[in-house]
Amino acid sequence: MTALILPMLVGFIFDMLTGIKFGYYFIPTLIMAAMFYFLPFVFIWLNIAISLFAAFTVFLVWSYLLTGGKIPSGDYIIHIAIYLILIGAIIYLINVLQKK
Amino acid sequence: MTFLHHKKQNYLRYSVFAAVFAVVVLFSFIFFKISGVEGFVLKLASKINFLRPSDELTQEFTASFLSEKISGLEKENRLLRESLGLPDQGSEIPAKVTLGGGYIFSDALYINAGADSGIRENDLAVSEEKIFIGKVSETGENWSRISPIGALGSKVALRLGENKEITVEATGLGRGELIAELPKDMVIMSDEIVWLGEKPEFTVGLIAETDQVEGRNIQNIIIKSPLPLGSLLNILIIKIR
Repeated sequence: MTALILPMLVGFIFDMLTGIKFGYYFIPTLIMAAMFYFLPFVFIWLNIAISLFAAFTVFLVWSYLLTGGKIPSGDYIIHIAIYLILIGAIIYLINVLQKK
Repeated sequence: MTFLHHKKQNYLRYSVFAAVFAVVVLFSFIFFKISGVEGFVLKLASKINFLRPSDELTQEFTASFLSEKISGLEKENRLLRESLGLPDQGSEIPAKVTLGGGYIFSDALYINAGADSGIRENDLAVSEEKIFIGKVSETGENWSRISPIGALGSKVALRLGENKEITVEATGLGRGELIAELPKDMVIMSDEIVWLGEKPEFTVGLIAETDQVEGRNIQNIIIKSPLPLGSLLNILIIKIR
């Protein structure tokens, strides 16, 4: 359950601090964490990679809608990627800690 | 041995839960705007903004001391002007960026001056070179949040052309980049300067590229801010009355 709560909390903090649209960080993070939680594969990295890809797609679609049908800038896409890698690292760490 | 193993597992689980609980409590203070705590949390959060170059401790102390002194004098000046019935002059408030602008906290800048210094929502933030940074979107007692130019999905009126005669609405693409649509027959050159629509004395950025849209009578222009938002330290707040 911690693997679900902690990433969502990070998403919530980002939502509060950046103030774009509430849920902009929280919802893709929730999707990523929930997907990781329910994916059946044995390899953690595979589960993280699949859930990261899903969250990245949600982020891009949402950004596309926010800009009125324009693709976000390259630097912004890098920001999204860094954020999701951070969430992936958190999920991985929690998973390792829980297994110990 | 089984007992020890069991205890270790519990310790890990409860320590994670305790950390989560502590973070929830701290950020709920910001959320409900309890004065005093928000400043402390923001100071704490600024420490993880490793993309920003940090000053020497002594310089930081002197700067914050001077900043405090200036804001105190400005407050006194404002009170005197109000008591004499004089109109408030459009003054500049210096501030330091404490968090944001980097690749982690993108599209938001936090500064160390707020309502105490007379900053209000929609005040303008400019760099020391008078380049437009963004608008104040939220203020606390001693902090403010700036929504920088080109924030994702934000709309802003801009002026371009030799005599600033062309007015256009641009949409933010994130991290200081904007897009605007113009008629195809309008001649726009790369590296042309773009000004802020409501205050044309402030530069916003340069035209980075123009792109003809196939099948439509328009061209897309991409505008980029020259400011390095991730390493910006000193800014000025221009009061709007």
